[in-house]
Amino acid sequence: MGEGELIEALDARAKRRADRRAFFQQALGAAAVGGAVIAASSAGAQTATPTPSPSPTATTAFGASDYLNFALNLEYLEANFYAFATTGSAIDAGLQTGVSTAGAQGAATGGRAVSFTDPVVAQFAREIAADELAHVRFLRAAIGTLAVAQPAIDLSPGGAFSTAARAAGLAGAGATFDPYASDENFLLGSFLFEDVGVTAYKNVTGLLSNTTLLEATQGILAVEAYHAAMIRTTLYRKGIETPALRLIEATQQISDARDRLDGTVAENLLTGYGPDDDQGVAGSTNAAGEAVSNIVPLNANGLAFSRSSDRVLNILYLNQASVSAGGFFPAGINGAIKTSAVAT
Amino acid sequence: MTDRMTDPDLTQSILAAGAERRAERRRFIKLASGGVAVAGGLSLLAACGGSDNDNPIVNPTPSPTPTPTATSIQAQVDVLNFALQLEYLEAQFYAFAANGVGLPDNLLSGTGTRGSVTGGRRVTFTDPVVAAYAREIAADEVAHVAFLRQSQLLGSAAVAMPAIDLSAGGAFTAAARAAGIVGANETFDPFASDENFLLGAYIFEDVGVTAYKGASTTLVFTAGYQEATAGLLAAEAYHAGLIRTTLYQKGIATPSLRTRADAISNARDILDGVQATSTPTPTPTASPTPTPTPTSTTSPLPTGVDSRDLDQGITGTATVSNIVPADANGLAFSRTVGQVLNIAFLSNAPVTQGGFFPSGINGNLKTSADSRG
Repeated sequence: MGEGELIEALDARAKRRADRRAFFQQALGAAAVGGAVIAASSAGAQTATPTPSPSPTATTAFGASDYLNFALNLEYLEANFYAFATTGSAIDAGLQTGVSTAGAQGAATGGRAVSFTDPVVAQFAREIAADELAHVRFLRAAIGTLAVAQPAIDLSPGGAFSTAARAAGLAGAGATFDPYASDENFLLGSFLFEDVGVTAYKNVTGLLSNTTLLEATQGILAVEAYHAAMIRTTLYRKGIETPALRLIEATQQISDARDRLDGTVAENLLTGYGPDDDQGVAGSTNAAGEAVSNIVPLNANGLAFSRSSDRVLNILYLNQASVSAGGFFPAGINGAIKTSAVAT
Repeated sequence: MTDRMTDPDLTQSILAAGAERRAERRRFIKLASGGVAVAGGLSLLAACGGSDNDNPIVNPTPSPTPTPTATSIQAQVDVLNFALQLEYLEAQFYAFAANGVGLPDNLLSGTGTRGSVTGGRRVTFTDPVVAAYAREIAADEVAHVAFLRQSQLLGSAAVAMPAIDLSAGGAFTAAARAAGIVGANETFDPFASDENFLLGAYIFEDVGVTAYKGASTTLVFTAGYQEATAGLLAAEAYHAGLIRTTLYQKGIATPSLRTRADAISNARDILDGVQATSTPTPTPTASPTPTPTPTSTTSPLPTGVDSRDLDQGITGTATVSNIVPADANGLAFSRTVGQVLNIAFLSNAPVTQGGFFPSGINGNLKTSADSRG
């Protein structure tokens, strides 16, 4: 295979991921052109700042504990989901308390244990459950006395999960989606959260200036990405093995629904924001007719996406409007950051 | 139904399963049994509060991003160039495995000594899913090379690709022998089969995650870079998760895949140092980090910086997998530049070349750490 064929092979990928197109323009020449901003800066000019992320909302009023508390709410959600799926119960009551002034403590309700048939899926579920529980503990310790309580969380099959599934077209009007009913449903339920966690943490890394907090946050970001890959890889493989399950198609539908819910923001290929910040696992074929998977959702530069906190809330509240409760958090999340964006 | 999570015995057994699986998670049990309950005892915010107005009650305005200085900018160039060379290595490996050809010339130029790739060939995949993964990751890694080289980042400051050894008889075999997955006189060819390809990929992927995480604090002073490199970090973690998940899954039919992956992790751990103390590695060769890494020796801050055990295999217990290498707090690990180079050079001594980079790497960060202690 020559250079041209490599580019062709890469090009097939571009067709699959429309937003990777910019990369090829760069790879084919533009990349080598132009003065390096950093290089120029190292010669004295202090203009090394790349285009900053277009923080879709004013987040300047928030401090580090607000961002970490926001993350803690997401971890409460994930930890409870996996705890229910693997044990049939919510996380320990001792981990649900928090500052009373930042929002009421609520219960996580509606979940139940999955009767796993594939032992590997069960092993993955237990591993992720332990990790998410560790994240809850870690963030509560890191935030200290300012940590918010667990808000009310709806994990019931008839509630937020079904609303999300209907929005994605996975369930018809009036039908329910039960993430605890089967291995496959559990994987799709997990899929609903995992990539969102990655984008949420990545956004936070752009907002923290304290290096210790930053490194810790990147540690959680990486773990969420590992989790997302576990779930996506498993859905892809099962989808290939048993096409009738339509698992690969389901990831596309969920991804599209998330994309609709979180609206459109300006593309920033350097920081990872974009109008289309979500991808399912469906692959494509390259010029040689070979299959290429899409386990990793990335932009044209090969970067994972970011979502601002308010757009993350559009997805978790299952609402494109600016609201402060709904979906998986029927009473809203706790802390200073709690309102979703006007996601048009 | 029994309330299993609130049943102390069951909860403890779940935690214990995790602990067996991950020795490094032992501290977690300690925390779980009381440590955390000491409110704010481990608070990062409290720990950092003296000099940083992170508490919104005290001061709702986040600390302004420090003005970049010539020194901090040079440090960022150094770190990005270091990352670029890891990406050259990964991109060439996957490009050869998936397509039988390396990167185009226009992605290899730059300052320093330009080298070439030795070895590397197309894998004749038998499992079409593994082939699809290889093609996906190859394109991602090529994108990373192009991204770091683009004008908004390194541009004309980018270093050239150094000499890279992908030959079956070279660095891969040395690494495989070090891990004990082949005998002292056997070779390990990562392009020979699906399984070998996955193990070859495994050698690199987690290292990339720890490298980006370890470098993250150097890039903090220029807004935007942090989020860009966090995007690379996450992409590498997705890749690593993909490879580890696949090895684990295939390990049902071929148990040696799991034990060999575990052996590679152990080898990496030996290469990057196994100091007995919990003193955080002070980011040695990793360029001038403006804020010093906390140096408390009694209770290191939980950032995933831990010099004792930075690596984990995929085998868990009978009931729990270990796809994600994480510490007791559920955080991915960090490696310093020097530790990453211990692995890339396949040497626990402070050297400037060897292993996958037989002529060393370009740029200012080029020496591995002294991890023989």
